[in-house]
Amino acid sequence: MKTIKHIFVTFFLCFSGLLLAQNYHVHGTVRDAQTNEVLPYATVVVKETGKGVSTNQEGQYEIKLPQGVFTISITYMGYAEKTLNITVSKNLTKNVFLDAMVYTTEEVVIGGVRTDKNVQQSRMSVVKISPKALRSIPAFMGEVDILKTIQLMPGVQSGGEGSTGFYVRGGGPDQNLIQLDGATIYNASHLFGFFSVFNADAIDNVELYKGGMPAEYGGRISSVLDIEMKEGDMQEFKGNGGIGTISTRLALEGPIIKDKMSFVLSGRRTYIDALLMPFVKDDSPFKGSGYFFYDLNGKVTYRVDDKNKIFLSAYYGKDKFSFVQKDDGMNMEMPWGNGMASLRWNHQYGDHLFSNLSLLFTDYEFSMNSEFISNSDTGEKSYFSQFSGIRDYGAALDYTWIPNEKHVLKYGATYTLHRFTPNTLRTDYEGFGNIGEGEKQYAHEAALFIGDDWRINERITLYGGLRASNFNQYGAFTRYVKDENLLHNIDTIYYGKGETVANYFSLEPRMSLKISTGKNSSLKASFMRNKQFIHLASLSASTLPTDLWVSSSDRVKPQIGQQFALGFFRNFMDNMFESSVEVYYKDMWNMLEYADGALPGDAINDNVDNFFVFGDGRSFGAEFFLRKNVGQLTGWLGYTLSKSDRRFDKIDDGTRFNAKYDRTHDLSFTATYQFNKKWDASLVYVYSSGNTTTLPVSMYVLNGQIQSEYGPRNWYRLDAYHRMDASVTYHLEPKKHFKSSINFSIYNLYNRKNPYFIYFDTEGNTEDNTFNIEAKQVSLFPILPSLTWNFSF
Amino acid sequence: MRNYIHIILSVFILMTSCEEVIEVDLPNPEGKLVIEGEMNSGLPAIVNLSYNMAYFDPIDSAALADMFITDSSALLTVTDGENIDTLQLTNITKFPYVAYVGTSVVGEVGKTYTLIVEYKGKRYQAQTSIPEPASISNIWFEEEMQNDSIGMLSLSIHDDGRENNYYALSIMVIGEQWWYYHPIFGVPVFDDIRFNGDSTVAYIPRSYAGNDFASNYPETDEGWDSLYYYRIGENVSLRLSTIDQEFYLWWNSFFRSGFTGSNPYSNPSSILTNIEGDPALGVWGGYANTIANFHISDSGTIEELRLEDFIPELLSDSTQHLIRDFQNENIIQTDVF
Repeated sequence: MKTIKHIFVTFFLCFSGLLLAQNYHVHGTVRDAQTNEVLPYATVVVKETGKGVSTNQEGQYEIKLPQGVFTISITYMGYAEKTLNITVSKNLTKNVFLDAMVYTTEEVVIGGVRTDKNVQQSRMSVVKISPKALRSIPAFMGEVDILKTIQLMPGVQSGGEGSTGFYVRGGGPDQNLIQLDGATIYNASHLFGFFSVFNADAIDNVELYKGGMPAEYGGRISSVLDIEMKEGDMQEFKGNGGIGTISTRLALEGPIIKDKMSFVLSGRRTYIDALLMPFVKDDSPFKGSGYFFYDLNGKVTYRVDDKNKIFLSAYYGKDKFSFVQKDDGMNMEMPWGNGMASLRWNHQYGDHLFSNLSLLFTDYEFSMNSEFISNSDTGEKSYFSQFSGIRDYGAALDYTWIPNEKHVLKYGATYTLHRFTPNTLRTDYEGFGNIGEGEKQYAHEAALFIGDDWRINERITLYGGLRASNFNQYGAFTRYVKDENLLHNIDTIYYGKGETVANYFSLEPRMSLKISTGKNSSLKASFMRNKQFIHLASLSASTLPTDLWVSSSDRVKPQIGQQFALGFFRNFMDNMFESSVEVYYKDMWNMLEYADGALPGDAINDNVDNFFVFGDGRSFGAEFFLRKNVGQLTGWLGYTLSKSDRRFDKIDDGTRFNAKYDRTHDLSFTATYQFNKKWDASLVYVYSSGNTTTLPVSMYVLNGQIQSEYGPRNWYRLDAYHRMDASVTYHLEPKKHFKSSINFSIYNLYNRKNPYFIYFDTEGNTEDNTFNIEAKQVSLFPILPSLTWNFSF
Repeated sequence: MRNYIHIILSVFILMTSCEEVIEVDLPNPEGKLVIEGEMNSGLPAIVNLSYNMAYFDPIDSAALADMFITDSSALLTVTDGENIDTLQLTNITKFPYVAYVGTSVVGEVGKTYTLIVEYKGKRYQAQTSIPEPASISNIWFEEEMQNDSIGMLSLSIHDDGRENNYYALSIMVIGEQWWYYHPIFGVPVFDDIRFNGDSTVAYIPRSYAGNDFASNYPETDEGWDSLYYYRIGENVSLRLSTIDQEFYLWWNSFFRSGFTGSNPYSNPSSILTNIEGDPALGVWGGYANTIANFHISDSGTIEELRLEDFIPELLSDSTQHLIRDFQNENIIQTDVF
């Protein structure tokens, strides 16, 4: 009997092979050796089997291996590769510490890391910037700027100077989900797009999905920009900062309880206003006018035990513009900005299951408060104030489950309560007539999601995901129904408190596929379909802080986006160069714009969405990317050839027109050269086809004046945008605990007058035959040098 | 107010900006006929025809004169559904001093008028109507604090309570202007949405437009004041008109186009047209008018001005009958004075 059992077992073992072979779990956390920060999505590869996994967001990895001796290689962009020899005979914990490559030691290590991650991972259309990579990209006005850097990637376009938004693959500026530690940031820039709200001192990881976004992200149809704030050092107290001609910033971090609890605190403020103050004459009627912005970031990390971690992070930033006109007794302040807080509990159940539970809060508000002399006899003053904004309360729960080395599953649920405040006016001045509070909009947004990264075999990896979301706008709400000319209310519908105004459900499939076509190359494809329930209404052709966020409603249907992408990725010369070509096609439905000539003011007896018209958009293009990661010279070249247009029934009778930011050509080039350990220099060059605009096609005389007949929407293309920035950094002799460098940078090196807009000016008169029409082009930023002293201790 | 914020933002952006004259290559436009016609209560139709031109074509007085069509081969007719009137080239009192003017069909309240233009083998058509006129409750003058020789005119209107009343205000400063022009500041065309069945008060800023072609703001020593305020001692004729909804939408687009044209923060919009048929620009609109003629006295009060007090000083040529007929038909019969 015993023999039979032996035979049976032997037989079974022979035929079932690996299935029954004893496997052990090897797991651990990958961290930065110096700062102890976890490194998410590092690559862990078993050399002998060629199999690899990525670490999760917490830097944790998990591999199953049979008994034996193995070599594991751990790589992470910007860090030196580490190989470990391990002997597996039981479940093992192997924590790994990686050394950053650029300026981490007193000696300059020329060169970064050779990585083939771009070829190996299943995702496509992803741009990742690690903290180290972030620090080695060219500085912009003495500071590293995340949004500026992202806009140098193919497929991502800036709106141009004076515009706060960015545009991904022909989508709108409201179609980008921007998250800071899981909380949405509604306005990501300061000073009309000149600076981003993300202070690089406080940022750890940056990830941008231009397409094929995983199922855990939703609510936007173009892209996801996921930014993580840095965790404080658990070992020692540190700081870094910079003093520049435009702004000053300081970041401090360190342990609160060593190895248990840490903090990061960083702040930044511009002071053009303070610098200019002494030069404004006391009797100037505008004395007191000015502008500044500031940012504050903070994060506390508490490592309860090996299995539990708690994070509390917060951001608060404001732009403030003040305008004083003494003669009219006018005193106006215009602050706008974001606030955000996020509390997250990270928990590990056993070896294969991780979870995150988050509570989230975010708020964006634009306001204007003014005081003016309303009665010139008595000098009596009146006030006028206005505000608009959006506020979200949310919660999210997600699980990452790694059942075996073939699958990584992520699933969970999210919930957000939105409150939209349209333009709300208040005044004690009767001259403005009857004004009052606009109709607020309230909505629940909830979603369930699941996604699986499935390594089918050595060559093929498939990601499949599904997201189900539901959006519910609820009362109290009053709908004013207008006639077709938007002149009169023809009906009024009242919704009681909590009563559903509109409900939208959405099922969103996501898919991406990678097929290796060789050791250094792969072919990838992706598909996604998303819905978006919030919309940015912009009266202007460019994005401004006054733009209004509005909810999907009984009148405004959710935006729908659908994108196909195909790409080929190949690395050369032992991963010294990485390259890719991606093509995409994107459809967008239910986009909105203000109706021609709509001038919504207060929302008395009216709803702001009554003034919208709706239409569709499409965009397609090809993106080329070549990057050199290692050597004295690093940098990249990106080029995008694309087309983006729109079709609205009520604009030009439904004919297609160019999107405002339709860019046929978009090229960007960056290069950083390290001469030696003291000097490095970098160069950025961008070229893109001009924005489109609507210009007149003829003039005629009516009502005794010259009138313009405008051509179709956005028919005219402005001159191309191009610009070169350069910067030089000198690293001062490091002291024991203190390092510093001086950065001199020049924005717009050859003082290109890039078009911001064109207008037509008339001069003279017809009587003496001096009448003349001239086209004038307004440009914003000329050549701008800046000097910054950066330090760390 | 939102626009006001845009203006401040743009001031701020422009502080850091620079400006240069550039060459813009605009294509040769499609040649379009421009029709500008009005049908006033008490008056025959007055219609001007012109052509549009390329944007950077030089405009001098000769080019302006060339723009207008004074060709007797153009056939213009107006019908009220029963009678047909063929318009004749006639001298008028405002730029360009000649127009196609009707001879038999005179604007009447409640009627709809169709204009048909046939010229060079093309045919254009438009329709408008003359609604019920409105009444003026009061007009008054307020002296400016710093300078008591100038001041502001206001009027009050009582809406009759019907929905969809649309008002248009225009001014003729007697001796300075020979026709009615809308004030340049503010929007002198409005609806009754805020005061249906109720009273409202409106400022009537002066109109800078003169009898000539207004190619630019006139430069004066007094600066903006002279474009805005009235002077003590002036004689003014005020026209309060009611218009139909289509014409109101047209006027809205007219003011909007002026506002958005040079504003980088909005999409510029063309002025609408209600001309149908072959491609054309312009408008055909009807006005129901209420006229008040008054003198601003030295003490700042408003005194009634009789027709015979100012007509002779105004004009001496054959175009006089247009103004006279207009006044006779529409002059106010209330107790304003």
